[in-house]
Amino acid sequence: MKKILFIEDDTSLQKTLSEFLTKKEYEILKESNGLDGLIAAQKELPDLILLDLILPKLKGLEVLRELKKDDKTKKIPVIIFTNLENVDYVQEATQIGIAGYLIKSHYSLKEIEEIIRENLL
Amino acid sequence: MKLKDLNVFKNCRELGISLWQCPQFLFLLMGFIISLSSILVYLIGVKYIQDLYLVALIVVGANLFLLIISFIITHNFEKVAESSRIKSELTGIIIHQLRSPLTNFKWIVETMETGEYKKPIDENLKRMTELTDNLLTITKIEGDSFVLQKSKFFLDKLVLEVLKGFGDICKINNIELDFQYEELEVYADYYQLRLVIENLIGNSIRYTKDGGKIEINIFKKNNKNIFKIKDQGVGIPEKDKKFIFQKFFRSNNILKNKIKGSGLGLYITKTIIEKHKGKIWFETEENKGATFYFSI
Repeated sequence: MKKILFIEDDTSLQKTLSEFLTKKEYEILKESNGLDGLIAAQKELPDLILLDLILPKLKGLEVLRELKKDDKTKKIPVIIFTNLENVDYVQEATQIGIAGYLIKSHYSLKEIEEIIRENLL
Repeated sequence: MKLKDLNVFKNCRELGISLWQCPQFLFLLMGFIISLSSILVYLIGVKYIQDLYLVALIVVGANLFLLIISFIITHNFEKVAESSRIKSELTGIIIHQLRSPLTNFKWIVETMETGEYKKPIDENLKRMTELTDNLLTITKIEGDSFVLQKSKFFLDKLVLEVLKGFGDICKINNIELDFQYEELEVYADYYQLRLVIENLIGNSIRYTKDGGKIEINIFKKNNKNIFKIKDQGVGIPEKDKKFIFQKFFRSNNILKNKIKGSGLGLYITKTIIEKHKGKIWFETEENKGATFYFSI
């Protein structure tokens, strides 16, 4: 079973997607702030990370930067999962290294699952 | 303070207001007017008045008067600039905050079993999502700090890409799509132009009845790249033509035909085309259809 770490501070949104993905036989680890998300990523070494940008304690881009610095976590595909469409964020995240940049509101649950499947290690 | 902070034009752009409402620019302008008027008053004074002390007094008086006027003007425009900044910041935050619960709602509906209420809920959710997306686009493109991310790409490939996304809806509504093109390389903001094309094609499909035909052409004319889309939809009544690009405007015949929409698409489309220094225009006849063009 593939392990996905979902770092998202909107717990209601996190619950809906997690439940859908659990039914599709993924193991979902949930964290609601950047710092705990980073610790969970280093400890659990998931197969993929869904990362929100606006997060308490440690912002999404800082989490991404730390993940890419660490030899243990740098190969884990990270999909930015946000509602921010700012080009600057897309460019910065792409430069650091991401597997994808998804605008939450533009995708259905089915489409998200397809993208996850395509990007899994 | 850094040297680049003295760039008035850049600072005004960042405030998201026009130059003529920007306090820093007005301050400079008033300074220039005061200096110019001092010289003029002095020159006129020495020509007609013998007493130099009186001339100096008139110059000081005129300067004082202009200084008070300029203070009132810049002070008021500072308030305008601040409220404009707060307004767009607040609108952006509110719309952005609305997106999360809307997304969650959309996903919950997706997991619901098919039933009597699923379709209307889904349709209304789509409308709300479209509205928030459009409002977010407007707050972005209306700001003077908005900069186009231009690159070279082929317009024909972009149109083909957009058309792929409309394939299913055309099939369902039995609408024929005909795309005639030549290879056209453009220098533009890919994502913004994509939005323009999506809006225009989306509108044509929305207003064309079952079994209708939509023709799209792209070509070069007088060194300009032209996009043309012709539909057999409801058209635009004569009296509504001048309002069609206004924010939230919805024509009477559209309301009569119960065609859904936010009334923001064409406003966004026009704004983006004008940011590219291009032009948008249309020809139409009520109940026979409309042809929209843009050039970049």
